[in-house]
Amino acid sequence: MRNEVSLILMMLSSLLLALLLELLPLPHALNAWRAPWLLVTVVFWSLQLPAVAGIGTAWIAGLFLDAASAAPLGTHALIFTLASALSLALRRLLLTLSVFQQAIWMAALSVAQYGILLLLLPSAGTSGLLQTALSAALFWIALHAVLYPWVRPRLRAG
Amino acid sequence: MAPLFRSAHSRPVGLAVLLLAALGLYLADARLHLLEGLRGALITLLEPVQRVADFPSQFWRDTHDALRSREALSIENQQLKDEIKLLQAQMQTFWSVEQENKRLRTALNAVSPLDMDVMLAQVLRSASTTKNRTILINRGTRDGLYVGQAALLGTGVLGQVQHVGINSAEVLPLTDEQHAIPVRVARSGQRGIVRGTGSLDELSVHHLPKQANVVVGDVLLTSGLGGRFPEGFPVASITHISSEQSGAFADIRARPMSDLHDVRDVVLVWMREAHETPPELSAPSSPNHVEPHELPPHLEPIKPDMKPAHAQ
Repeated sequence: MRNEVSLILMMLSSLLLALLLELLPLPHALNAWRAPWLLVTVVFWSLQLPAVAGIGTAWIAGLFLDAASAAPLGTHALIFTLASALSLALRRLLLTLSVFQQAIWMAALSVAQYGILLLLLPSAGTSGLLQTALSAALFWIALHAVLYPWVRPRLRAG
Repeated sequence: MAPLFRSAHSRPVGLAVLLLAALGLYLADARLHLLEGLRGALITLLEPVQRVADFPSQFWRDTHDALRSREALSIENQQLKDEIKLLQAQMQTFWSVEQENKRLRTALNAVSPLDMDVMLAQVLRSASTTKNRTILINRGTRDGLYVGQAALLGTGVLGQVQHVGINSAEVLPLTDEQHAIPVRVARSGQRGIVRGTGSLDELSVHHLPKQANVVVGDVLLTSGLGGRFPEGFPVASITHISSEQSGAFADIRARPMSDLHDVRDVVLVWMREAHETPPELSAPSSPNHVEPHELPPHLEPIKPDMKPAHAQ
């Protein structure tokens, strides 16, 4: 029970931190390299804690990102829900893969995000697509390295 | 473990509902513009996170200001004093021109221009430092801001308020692709529309015919049509004209009067009697000068003091 609570608290605070990173101003040159912080964090928790962090969490996180990025409401909610649902559908396969192979999946999801954004927001453009995919993969590896050792024992115990 | 939300593989119905809800939100917000209230609430909820996220750059700015040398500050102080004297001198001529303008308007029975109230706001986050293309300022509904309100800089138009929270608001810069602003050429009075291109340094000018009397360097002022922006504020100066494009209109590019890369203070404008005056009349045009391509003669007095005061 205590493990459950601490896992949920950890999930909420990491999502909040990811949202904060989304809002962090960066110099123009670095801005293209900005990782899709919140998307990566949402997918991470969908895979690790599917019983708690499902598509509903993804939807709400996406709605907050819509407000934070002045996109039409629902845009990122849609993207995050799809990304989370796809990852959940492939969860068993994805969990057998290594972190680096999972990072490729993350990069693919961030490219798919561009596709949906282009569909819903014609002014979005595709500039920085490769940088975002690469930084998404790198952030996935980093997030995994930081959170996974902490999450794993608690999941086993819980 | 009790699930907060059922996961996707257990309930495809839940997934369908969420996707439809997201699409519904998107349509209601992007197409019908019904959700300003919800967005205001979300922006207000995000305010504390926003403040924390802005803290590093704000801190850097503040220490940078605090560490500047005494000499640099006193030099800047002297420059500002000189500037104030110059502006005061210009204000005197402006005042007499304004009086003359009022007198002529009463003689012509023209509608008097709108009075305006202003408020200064600080920028919390400038454009193009995050994925968000808007500029975040530290005023919101608590200060009476509203969606569509005009935002100006010392040197020209900045854009308009797009979303409002309680203590903060997002300003869409005029360089954004979604932004359009009705203008007139200061020299000839011809009307057009200035649209953003997505780059902070370039604007495109529409609806000016090929044979229009415009040259590179011409200043574009707000025309006041539509009633959103007060009339007569500098918007952009023309940088490029090409008539190669087919059709009746020339392809004209302009550059915003104000530098939008480093915006620190924003002036918000309230126009009094904005709702009593029909939008068509908010621009100074008397009934016998409704032809758009005809030069309205009473625009002339505004020109001489607009240019020296605002040209860089």
